[in-house]
Amino acid sequence: MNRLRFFLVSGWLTYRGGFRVLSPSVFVPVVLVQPVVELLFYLQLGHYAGTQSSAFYVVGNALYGCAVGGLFTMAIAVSVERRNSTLLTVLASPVNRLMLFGSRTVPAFCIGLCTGAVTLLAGWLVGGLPIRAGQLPLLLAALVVAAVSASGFGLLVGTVGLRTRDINFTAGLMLSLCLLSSGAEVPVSSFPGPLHTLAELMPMTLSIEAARRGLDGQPGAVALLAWQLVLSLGYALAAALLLRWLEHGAKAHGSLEWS
Amino acid sequence: MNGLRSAARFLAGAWWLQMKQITTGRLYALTAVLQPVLFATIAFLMFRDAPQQQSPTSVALGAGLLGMWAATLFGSSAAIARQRSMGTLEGLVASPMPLILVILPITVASASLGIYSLLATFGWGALFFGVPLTISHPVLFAVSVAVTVLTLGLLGVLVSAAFILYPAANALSNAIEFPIAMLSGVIVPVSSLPAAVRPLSYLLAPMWGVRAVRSAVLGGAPVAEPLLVCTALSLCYLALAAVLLQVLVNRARDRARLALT
Repeated sequence: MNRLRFFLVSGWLTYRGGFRVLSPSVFVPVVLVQPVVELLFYLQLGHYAGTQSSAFYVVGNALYGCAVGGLFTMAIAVSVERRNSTLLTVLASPVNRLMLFGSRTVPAFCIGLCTGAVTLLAGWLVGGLPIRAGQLPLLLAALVVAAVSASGFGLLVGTVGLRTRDINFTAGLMLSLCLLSSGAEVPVSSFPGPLHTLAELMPMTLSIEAARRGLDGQPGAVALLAWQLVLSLGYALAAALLLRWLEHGAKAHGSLEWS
Repeated sequence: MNGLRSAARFLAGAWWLQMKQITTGRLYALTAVLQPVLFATIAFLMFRDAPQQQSPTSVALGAGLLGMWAATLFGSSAAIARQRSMGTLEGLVASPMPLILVILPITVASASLGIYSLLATFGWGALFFGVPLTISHPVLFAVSVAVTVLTLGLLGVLVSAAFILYPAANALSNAIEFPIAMLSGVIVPVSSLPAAVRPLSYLLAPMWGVRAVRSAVLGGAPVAEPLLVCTALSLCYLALAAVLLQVLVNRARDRARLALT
């Protein structure tokens, strides 16, 4: 029980103290406005090209929206300690590293979920998402799985922050690669070979496909979501191993406080 | 005359210094080169089998111009915030050089990075998507790009002035990237926008700059007229930015809120 309390409270306090994303001056433009205007941009582009339906772009951008909050804020979860000169103290503490940094995935998940839900609502309001009540549970499940996956992937990217000086660059690049390869704007089936392989490894690709299948009444959506969760577990495992390895290396080389 | 000459010398020197400084930043490379290339890939794939045909040249151009605008916004929104975080804003405001002359080279240098965006999207398009590297009016193209860079730089000054009292200018700038791009018709023509918002497009100097660059590359449309409108609107932005900056700085000094702490 204490561990669960630590997990939840630690993540929440870190977000309040270390990140500005919860302050209204950042939360409103980043979580509420940016994903919606991005959706409108791609809706306009999609309408002009005339290749896909509005629902295609609404679902794609809403689930990609989970990455903006989930992936990016998690990605800077380690480097924020260095910026605040607290990394040495944090890593000197006896607490389990995965517990410590993993606790930050909870607020990241909530922010990602909020971003995705707002985008979905905006898409529905502009009439781009004709949805029946029976389709809603699967769509929400896809949203939750996408947010879990984005924060798990963010943890993996954030771990690299122990080694690199410029995690914002890595996080921004990953976010852009997610947009390209997740199939949010272009069907994955039309990707050339290497991009197709990349798409299968990225978070959200399967959630987006599952949500679209659910809306079209095609089978296989639940299996895709299950695979996405397995992939998320893989990200968390890879993050745990990488964290241990990079921490050991950084301590050995005295490079923890690179800035 | 001497004052004008020294101001011009200061602007040129500061622009060059900023260019050298920001080209060493990897985040600028991401904004000005990598993201436009990734966006161009999305756009190429979207239009590859689209019923509404868009020439690959036009797609590459649109992606490059979007990158130019993103780079401008990235630099402009941070122009004042960075001085604030480094603790140099108070000194700059107190110096005899008008603040607008300090901000202008930063925003124009950021917009200049957009030239890399154009080169990157054209190069990427030529390598993988069959974009022909032909320009209908090369000289007019060079002039149009230069004017568009200056225009975006001036709009950038307006943006940085408007954001001077906002504590998270970078976050706010992300939110205005796409609306301005849509209204400027970087990829989708302004004629396809709802009629109610079209007048806003005509007030945006970048829209005229984009139109001039597009005409110079693709041919078949006048270049001089949009360039003239673009220049006239840019001068209005400059005047507006000067007034706004002065009013906001005066207010910040009155309330001792320049540092926003």
